[in-house]
Amino acid sequence: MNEVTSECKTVRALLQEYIEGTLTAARKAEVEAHLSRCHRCAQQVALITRIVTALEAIPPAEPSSELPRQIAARLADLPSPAERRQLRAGWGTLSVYAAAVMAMTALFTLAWPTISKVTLRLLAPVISRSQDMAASALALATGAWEALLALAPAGRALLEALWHPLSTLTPYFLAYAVGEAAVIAAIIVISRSCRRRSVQAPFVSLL
Amino acid sequence: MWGEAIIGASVAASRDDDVLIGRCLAGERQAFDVLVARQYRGVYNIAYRMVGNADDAADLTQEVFVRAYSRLETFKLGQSLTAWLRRMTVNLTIDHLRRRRHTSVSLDERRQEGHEPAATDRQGSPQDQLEIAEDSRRMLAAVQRLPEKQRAVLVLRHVEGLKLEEIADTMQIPLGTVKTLLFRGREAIRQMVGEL
Repeated sequence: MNEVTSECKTVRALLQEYIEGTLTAARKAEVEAHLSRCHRCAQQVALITRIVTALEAIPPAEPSSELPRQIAARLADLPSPAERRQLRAGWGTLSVYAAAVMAMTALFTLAWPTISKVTLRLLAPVISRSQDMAASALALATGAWEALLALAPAGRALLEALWHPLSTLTPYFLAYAVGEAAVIAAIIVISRSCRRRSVQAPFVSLL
Repeated sequence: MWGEAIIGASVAASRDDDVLIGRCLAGERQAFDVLVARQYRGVYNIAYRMVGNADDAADLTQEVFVRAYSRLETFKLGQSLTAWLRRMTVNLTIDHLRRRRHTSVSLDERRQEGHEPAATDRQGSPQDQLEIAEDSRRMLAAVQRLPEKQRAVLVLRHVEGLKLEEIADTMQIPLGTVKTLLFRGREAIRQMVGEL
């Protein structure tokens, strides 16, 4: 059988699977029966088998013994998985904050016309009153300042007149203040002590 | 008996890989060096057979491990590290080939440069071995002339000896596409070396 027949075409469509060994037993028997009769198809199979045998016989190639060291050098420049996790966590937090800020900004920008109108309407009485108060305070401060300027020479003369007797009385004033503070402290300590013992302190009313 | 032993060894290796990956994730970078030492030959060989060039294969091997280290958190413990690295290798090599539209250096040239493949202890007479070695050399050269995906499928199927399902998983393509690529790849090689 030297011509390519319809049977040859059918068998050749199955040759790959025949070589792979994935045909059913019945199909395999059909192919083998055809191959025993057809020299052309048998040659095809022999050629493909030889190709496959040759491919399978390709010996392994031996890489350079330096290769693992070169790989290690490349890896040394990279962040470790643990470092990458930390980096990602940092960026994650930062990105959440950034997203929140951006969202707030966007929301505020979009709502600004409404916010400004409502705010102005709500604050109108306060603004008006604060403007009045500010004007009054300014007028009062101006008046006080002018009065101080007018009284400055008289005040200075008065302070100079009072300074001498005050400076002589200072030790007496200090002694009085210390004594008063001591009495107040003693009253506070005694009253707390009485409160802890549920006793009414008779002289608390002195305070 | 043997099958059980092999499966047991594979599971043990996978657990061992998981332990090393866990240690690496916890901050022990040296644990990854152990994984590199175990896997770099396999990664290099897939890349080498696809690009046909020792320098490019070495660069691709480095890239694979850099990518694996950078994405170690995405590795699901319990899956095969070899399969995970193989997938990265094939994807990176296909990208590399597409970028460069590589005009590969033939194996003859590699031999002149002193890049001799490692010897293997194959069966048969010396004459048979010579013939097979010559066929293999021509096949590898022919594979370098195939489109990227056909090249990847042929290398994974016939050089790495993967099952069709494993190739589909590695390349993330349907099983039918794997069969089609394999068929077209073999046909293309048959036409290239038809006078074998």
